[in-house]
Amino acid sequence: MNDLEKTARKTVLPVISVMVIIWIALSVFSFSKTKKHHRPQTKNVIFGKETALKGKKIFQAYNCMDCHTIVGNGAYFAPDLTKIYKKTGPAWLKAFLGSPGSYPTKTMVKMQLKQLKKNNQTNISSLKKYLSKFEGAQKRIKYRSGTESLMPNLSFSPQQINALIAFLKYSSKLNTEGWPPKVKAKKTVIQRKRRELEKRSGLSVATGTKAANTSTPTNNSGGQSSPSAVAKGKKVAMKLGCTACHSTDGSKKIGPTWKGLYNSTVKLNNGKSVEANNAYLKQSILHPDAKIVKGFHKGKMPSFEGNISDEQLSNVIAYIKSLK
Amino acid sequence: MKIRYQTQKLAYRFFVSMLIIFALQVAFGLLLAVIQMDPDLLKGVLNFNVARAFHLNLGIVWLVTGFIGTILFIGPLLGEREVRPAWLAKFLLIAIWVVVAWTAATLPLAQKGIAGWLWNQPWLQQGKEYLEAGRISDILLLVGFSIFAYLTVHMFPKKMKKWNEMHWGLAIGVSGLAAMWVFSLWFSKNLDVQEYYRWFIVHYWVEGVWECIHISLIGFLLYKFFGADEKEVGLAVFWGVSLVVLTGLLGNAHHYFWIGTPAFWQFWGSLFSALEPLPMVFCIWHVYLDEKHGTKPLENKAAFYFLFGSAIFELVGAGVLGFTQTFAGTNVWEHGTWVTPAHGHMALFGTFGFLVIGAAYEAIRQIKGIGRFKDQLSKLSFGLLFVGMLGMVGSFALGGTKEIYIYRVLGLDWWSHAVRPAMSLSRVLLAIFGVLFTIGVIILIYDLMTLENREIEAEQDRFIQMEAPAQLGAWDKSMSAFEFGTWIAGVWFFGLIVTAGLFSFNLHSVRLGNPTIPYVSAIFGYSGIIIVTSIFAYRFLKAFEQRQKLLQMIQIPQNGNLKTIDLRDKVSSNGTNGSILDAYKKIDYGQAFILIDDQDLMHQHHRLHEVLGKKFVWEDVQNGPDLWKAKVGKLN
Repeated sequence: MNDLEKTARKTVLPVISVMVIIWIALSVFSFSKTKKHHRPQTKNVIFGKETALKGKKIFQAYNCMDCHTIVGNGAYFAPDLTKIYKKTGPAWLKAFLGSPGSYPTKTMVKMQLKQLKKNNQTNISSLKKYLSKFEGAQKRIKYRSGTESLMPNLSFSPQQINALIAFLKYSSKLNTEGWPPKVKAKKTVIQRKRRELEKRSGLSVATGTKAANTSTPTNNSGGQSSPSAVAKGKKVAMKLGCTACHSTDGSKKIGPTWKGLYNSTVKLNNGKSVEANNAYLKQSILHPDAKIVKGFHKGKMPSFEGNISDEQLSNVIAYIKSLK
Repeated sequence: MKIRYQTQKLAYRFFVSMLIIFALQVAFGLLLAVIQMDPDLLKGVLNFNVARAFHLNLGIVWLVTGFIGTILFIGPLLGEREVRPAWLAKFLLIAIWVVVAWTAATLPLAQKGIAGWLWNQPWLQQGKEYLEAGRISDILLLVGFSIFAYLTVHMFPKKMKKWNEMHWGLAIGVSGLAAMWVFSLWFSKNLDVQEYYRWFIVHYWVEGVWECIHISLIGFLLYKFFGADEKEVGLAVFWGVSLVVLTGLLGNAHHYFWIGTPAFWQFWGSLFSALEPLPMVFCIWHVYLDEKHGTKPLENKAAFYFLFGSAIFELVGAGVLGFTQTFAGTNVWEHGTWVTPAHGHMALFGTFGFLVIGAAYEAIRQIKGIGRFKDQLSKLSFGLLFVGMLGMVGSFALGGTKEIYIYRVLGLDWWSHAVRPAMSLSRVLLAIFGVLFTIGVIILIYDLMTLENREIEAEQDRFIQMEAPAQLGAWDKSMSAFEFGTWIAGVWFFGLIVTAGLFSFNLHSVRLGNPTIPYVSAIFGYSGIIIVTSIFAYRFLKAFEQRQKLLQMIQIPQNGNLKTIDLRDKVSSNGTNGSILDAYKKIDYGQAFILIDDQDLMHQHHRLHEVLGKKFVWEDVQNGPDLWKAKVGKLN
């Protein structure tokens, strides 16, 4: 080893020490409170009585990060969630997380908004105002309403949903220094590309409802109800988003299946049994928490009182009847 | 070749475990590729996130198991003593399997949302990318890593003054591996802090202490394989490790661009992590130099293939591909897309996977007492792993480029009907190359586990009749430093095109919706990187094979049939320096002649070296006191 080499080697450690000091200084400055760089805290962000801290724990417990990404880190298998709250707002998220296997319909979002207003969780007075504030929700309703999503139909409790929304509200507040970059593309280019991709994915209709229609069974010929009432009922069920949680083919989703439900004996979680007649179905739609089916949970289904007309109600029941 | 220390045999069981865990990891990888194509396939049974958690965690475990195996094998040689205590090494293996089994049992709880929260800690699993295992696993792992560090350092000489650079590199590596793991042991309430500490483990492992282990191990193996000068290897290891720390320490800042931390990280991260490829260029340069150092045919060519693979994949995967995405201006676009795993897969598997596979070939060969072996299968496996990985890199990178356009530029942010259909071709390509890679893994495991069946009998080996070539094809000629540099520059040239392509997303026209520039740059750049890397590897290994073949031919005893140049005969033209060169030119490749003189031949050796470089091999036959004899063989 010559002298130059020896001197060079001796400088390595001091240089590394300087770098460690720089590193520590940068780190301390990053996480101390400064006016310039705002740092939201999970313990201070609240949604529906739940903190974002609780939401973070749920987010980790379900290992959301190994499908989605958050602040760009994760599995790239599902959308980035950092700014999703800012895009879609709480009502859409509430509607979606209630049954993540499918995209919420307009009515579902509207009902959630009403509920939020009732609980003083929002001051947005109408759906129109909500959708103009949260463009992401508007786009999703316009293009995706009622269609199936790729997400597994995880069954979150209402508290968990609130906590997750609180966490997403928190992550939306993070100052990510301009990431992801703002969209500046021309509307015409976006539309053209969107249509092209939808065609490729087999979803050729802009609203998406027709695609969803074809995926439900056409088993609606039976029953005493008139065929037109059944057909109307099916349409209403689709529009309101009932089938996001209730399957029509006997499979288990978030709620009990509708197949073979009518006139069957339903076991409730209080040990009693009840016959699924018109009165029971009507009560379950308007006041879902009155009777809970065994194996399911309270507070998951929103009340449809005031969101469904009498005619629509009887048509939906006619549709349920037809599913044998 | 026989092993020198009995406890070196302990490495064998670690390598067997390594291969089993590697196979499992690849199986999960293949499964992920299938789920990518059909997301509904196993929904509710084995969700994507659980399969991915397995893929990542098994990936870490098999590499660490490989490190342990390698260090148990070469540690006794470095320290010139047995592994002590041997029972602790045996216990370590059991501990690995206990942690693997426990973690495998707990990861699927994510499907039910069970993390085992108690005292603010997730005891069962914690849903953080790479660190999915819960606190119980974390603590067990810390114990395991500490045992590993203890065993390693305990093998080295008692007096630290006796340590050379390789001892230090390994000691820093293994203790750093355990020390960094401490940062995984707590729950952070805020996301920015969580991500800040998460990269302490992920980054400081793979771009820090693991690199120290990598450089030291490669250095030691090259030193053993080619009889390279210990001091020169030590010098290379010292500067390799120093450069890793000097660039990687602040280079970690490239993970803090967008996680909610201030913008100044963008400056530090862009600057220092752009320098991170330096030690990698340095490393492959030494592989090039040391390979030519060998004067005896290598007994284990397969191991060298994988060591070379490790150095080149490190340079391209970690160095070049990492460089393209390390600037705030390129990272802002590629972050969170498939462009990232293109770099991740190649860097992690290439650098560390190829290294421990290469080490496994040498260790298993020696432990089983095998001399030379037929290496067609190992080369086939190497080729499949090489091509399979490069293909996967291309699939990820091009799919990711498209993803940037659809997802970020146009803002079409739903998966099922925009981002996914845009990437459908890449998903198919990914699966195809994944299958190629998997076949490579199957062949590799079969080959390593039945290596004794392919042993070549020593006698048989000696009598191989090879024809000495008068002329060499262009591929067979040895690679000059200039040519080597040109290849490396070629990879960087295409790397810069990829970088420019990622930067071009900032252009006004691209942001308005015209993707031509980034698309063309990506197609041109990534295919360039893949093609140049492949041809370079082929060229390098072809020259290596030729050199090995010629070395072997020169070694065959000729029983006095060799031409002799008597330098004592100064009257006739026979005795001049020019005549030595003439003789060299006249003989075919792989042949030799004998020099005789009544004084030391050192001077002739140096003269020849000045003119021919490494294109000849010199073997002292007789060293004085009255007569000096040397054999000079002609190499490519």
